[in-house]
Amino acid sequence: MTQRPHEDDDLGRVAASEDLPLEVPGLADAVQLYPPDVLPGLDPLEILTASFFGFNTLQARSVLADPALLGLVRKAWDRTPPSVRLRERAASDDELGRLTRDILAATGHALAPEQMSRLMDTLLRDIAWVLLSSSLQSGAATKGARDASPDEWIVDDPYVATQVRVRRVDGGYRVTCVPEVDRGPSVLHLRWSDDTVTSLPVAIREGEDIKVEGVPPSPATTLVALAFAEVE
Amino acid sequence: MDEQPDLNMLAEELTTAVMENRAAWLKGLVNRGLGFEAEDALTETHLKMLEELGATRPDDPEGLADAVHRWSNPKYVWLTLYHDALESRRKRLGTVPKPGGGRTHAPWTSVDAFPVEGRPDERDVEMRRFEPLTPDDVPDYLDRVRARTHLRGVLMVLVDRSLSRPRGTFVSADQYRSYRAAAAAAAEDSDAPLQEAADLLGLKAATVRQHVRRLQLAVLATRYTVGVLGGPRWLRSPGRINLVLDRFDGNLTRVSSARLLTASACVATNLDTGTRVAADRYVITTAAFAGPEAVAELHDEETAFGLLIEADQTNCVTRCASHNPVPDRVTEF
Repeated sequence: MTQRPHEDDDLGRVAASEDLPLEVPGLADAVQLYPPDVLPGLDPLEILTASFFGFNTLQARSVLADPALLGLVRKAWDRTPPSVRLRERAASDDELGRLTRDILAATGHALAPEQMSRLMDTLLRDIAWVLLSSSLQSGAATKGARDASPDEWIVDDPYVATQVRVRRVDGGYRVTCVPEVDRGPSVLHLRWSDDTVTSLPVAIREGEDIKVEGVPPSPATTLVALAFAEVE
Repeated sequence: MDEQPDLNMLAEELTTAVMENRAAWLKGLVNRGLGFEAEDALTETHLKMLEELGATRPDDPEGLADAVHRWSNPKYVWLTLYHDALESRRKRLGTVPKPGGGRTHAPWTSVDAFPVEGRPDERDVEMRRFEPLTPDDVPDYLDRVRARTHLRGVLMVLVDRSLSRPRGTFVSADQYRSYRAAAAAAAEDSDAPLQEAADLLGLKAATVRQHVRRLQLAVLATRYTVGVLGGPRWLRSPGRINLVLDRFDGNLTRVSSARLLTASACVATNLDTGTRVAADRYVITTAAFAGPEAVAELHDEETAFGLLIEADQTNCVTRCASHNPVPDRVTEF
């Protein structure tokens, strides 16, 4: 990382105001979780956790550049092969996808192209079924959370590589998310409690909001599950 | 719809718990003559935790609850770590002849430097604080580490952003090192933590101060724009944090940006009113002659930014009904 001049930007100017109190409760304790020379994200324990759930760009680059971190990831994957979630991340076309593929290759866990293609076909089919049978209740991860809502769910969707929010609105359901991958023209399937499926076209582009509303076939019908998929 | 916990978030919380206790555990192993095996044993123990979480099935919530209960119990983790270190020592010592022929690894008694009665932590003063947790204690314990987990997550995103964003809201490696060194000095009751950090890093104290304040403001701005003006759980999503900060960095006028950055330093959490800008603090900080007008201007700014990021639960400074379907919503930290 190179040091850049940044004192003249908005953040630098406001931070320079001597009388502005900037204490962040708990921050000093949080940084002392790390050894002195380790950046947040690059602690070996964090790298091990990321080897199960996915790396960020800094982690991925650092793992590729540091034999000790790469050895840790190899050790983890030799015992428990890379997860479906990680394989899916590696299949994306962005920089993080490429870096994840490089780590898989460097640890001897890359799949041959035809295996990858078959895996992805299977995954895409299975992803739909997994999501159709296991939507997530909002606030479930923090049961008793003050902001939990019975009319809102969060789906951790690998196809868009982010969390998808589903909210019950007047007469239907609103689905919103900000994809972290580019998939291009795709389709959003909404499955209702009467087993019918509504398919809505969506364009999935990294960083661009998606907001779709689906109306059930009848007022008594509820949304059971959803799945993003390629256009067939 | 089924309810499922977020395994990734649980793993991050348990990782934070291990990081919190790591120093005491490693010291405990060193005190027991197992310093050589300590780091490898910690890796082994952490992998066991991740593997167990990863192996839980959606249709077995009791199994997951049991795993979380055990791995969030510091005493359980310490015992696992201790035995992993002993196992590592046994393997390192190689094999010994077995009665009746063949060879086997050395017996446990030959590698346990302190074969005391009872649990293996009885002689470690620093371990006595690790009392077993009851199932009722686990949620409170996780709450304690949760805030640090979210701060850790935000720091990871901000440091990661320094790779790709030439300007705006990020934390550079230099800024982080300055803050870390100053925080460590302050924790040891230094009278001049900035100067101590500067001496350690070979920088001027003024540079360290600039780094520290910029990092603090970056974290405050993230909490405010993403968590306060955004929506519930937005601070838990790296993708969402990046999107909001990109819009904050790229779409605002200089006046709007400065106003929101200043307001971010005036955020407070109150169980009755949630997390939002404290109007009185904002008026004092900005030295505004006309307080109500200053607050109204900030409210307009917050409204516009909420629209920009398509927020549906903006915790605005006036706590108005249209922005606050949950009027006491608190953010992750």
